[in-house]
Amino acid sequence: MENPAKIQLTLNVNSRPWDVLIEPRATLLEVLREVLGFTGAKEGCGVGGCGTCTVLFNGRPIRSCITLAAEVDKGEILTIEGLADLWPNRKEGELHPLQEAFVENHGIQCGFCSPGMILTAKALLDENSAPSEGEIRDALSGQVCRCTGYAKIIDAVADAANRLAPGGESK
Amino acid sequence: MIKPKGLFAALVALDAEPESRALAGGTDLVVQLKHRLTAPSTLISLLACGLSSIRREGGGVTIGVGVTLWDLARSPELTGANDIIRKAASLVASGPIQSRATLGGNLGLDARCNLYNQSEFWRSGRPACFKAGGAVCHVAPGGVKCHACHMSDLPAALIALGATVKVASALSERVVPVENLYTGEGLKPLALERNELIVSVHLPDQQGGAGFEKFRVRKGLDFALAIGAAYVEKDSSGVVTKAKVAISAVGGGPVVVEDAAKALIGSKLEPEALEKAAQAASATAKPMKNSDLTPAYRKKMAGVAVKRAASVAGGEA
Repeated sequence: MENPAKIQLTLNVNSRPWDVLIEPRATLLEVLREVLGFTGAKEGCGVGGCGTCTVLFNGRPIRSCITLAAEVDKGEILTIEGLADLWPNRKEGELHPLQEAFVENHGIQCGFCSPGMILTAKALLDENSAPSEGEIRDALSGQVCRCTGYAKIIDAVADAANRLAPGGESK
Repeated sequence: MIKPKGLFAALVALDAEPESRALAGGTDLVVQLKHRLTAPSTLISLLACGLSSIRREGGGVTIGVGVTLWDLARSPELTGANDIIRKAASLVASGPIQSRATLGGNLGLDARCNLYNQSEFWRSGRPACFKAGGAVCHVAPGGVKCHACHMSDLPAALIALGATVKVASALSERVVPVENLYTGEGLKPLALERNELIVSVHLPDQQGGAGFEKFRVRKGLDFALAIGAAYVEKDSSGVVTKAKVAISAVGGGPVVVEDAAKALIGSKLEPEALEKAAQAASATAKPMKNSDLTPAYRKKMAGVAVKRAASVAGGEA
């Protein structure tokens, strides 16, 4: 098959517009990693199964490896690189409370699944600020951690919910 | 890729190019592209076609096929028995898939098989099967047809609720019951012409109760291995006056199980009646050895799914 003509589009990634010239068949993950250099999102299975490529699109988690970049030019994309900047009280070099909770609860082992885990957890906490353990497990059920550190990850999300709650230690 | 503005423009484009395919959420189609299972000349994006509304009309709810499973799972319009659509949508894979996957994509999902839905490299180890354009079935060697399994979640629930779909091409439009959308054949599971698109689903308001049960190995990742859905109406003394039962993910398409409904009607959903309905469902299920777990177990679980769905339906009717 001949290479189709490239298309020009503007993607809003991490609160900034980026003009890109890409093939129509390019996935969002390819554009994020190889064109824009946001390598936080990882390619695991490449077919939407494992969740390591998860980013947020208009606040909802999506699989960037099976989303064509040309389909997400109207809306806000958030990758792990942009998460800390969303935190209003953040000082230079500080992480988002959700990231801090993952670090302090040992929710990160090899780190490959962490960006997808953290962003999926962010979408959950934005919709439900005090999720039960069952709700956390449900929300993360499509995210695979091959280090199998699930218990610590679930603890981290529960801890993050506490930190983000009014009166929690992050406010 | 083209992004037609409006449904008619999309239908014209689909009609004009025989090798084109419509793209909605892409959670299945993009995987097929990556696996080289399809090689469309053009992708027709349905994003700008205005198919994403859920509205009340004609004594029920009309849902555009572009509505995501994420929105469907949270829709306040789906009340009473229609609530099982919310449940079914929430059980499709997990949130990051539901946020892109659409109602239309779920209804129009192709039949699947462990020996077909694999990468090009994986498949290259043996001759092409019927579904890949060859002349053999690796699941049933010596068989004369494709045994791929239709594993999508929403059809059984919609069928039990008596939903209809609007199907349109550039030249025509028709409304059919959801069960008529499926051929039961793994090779070509959809009774749609190449230039036709499912446009919307209409769910009538319900008097009774409904239940939906789905089995799979890993929640959040796997496709269904058996699905049962039931709708039940009861009179004031608790006797079932109307019932509809459907199963899916255990054959080439979703099926209405008339005998299960018959077993429920006239009963008070006593254990014996539920058991009879379960047996009817198991007898109708025709799973093959093309996904996880054995066919015998999935056949049995189709009955269990129906039993549980009917029991929940009865409790809500």
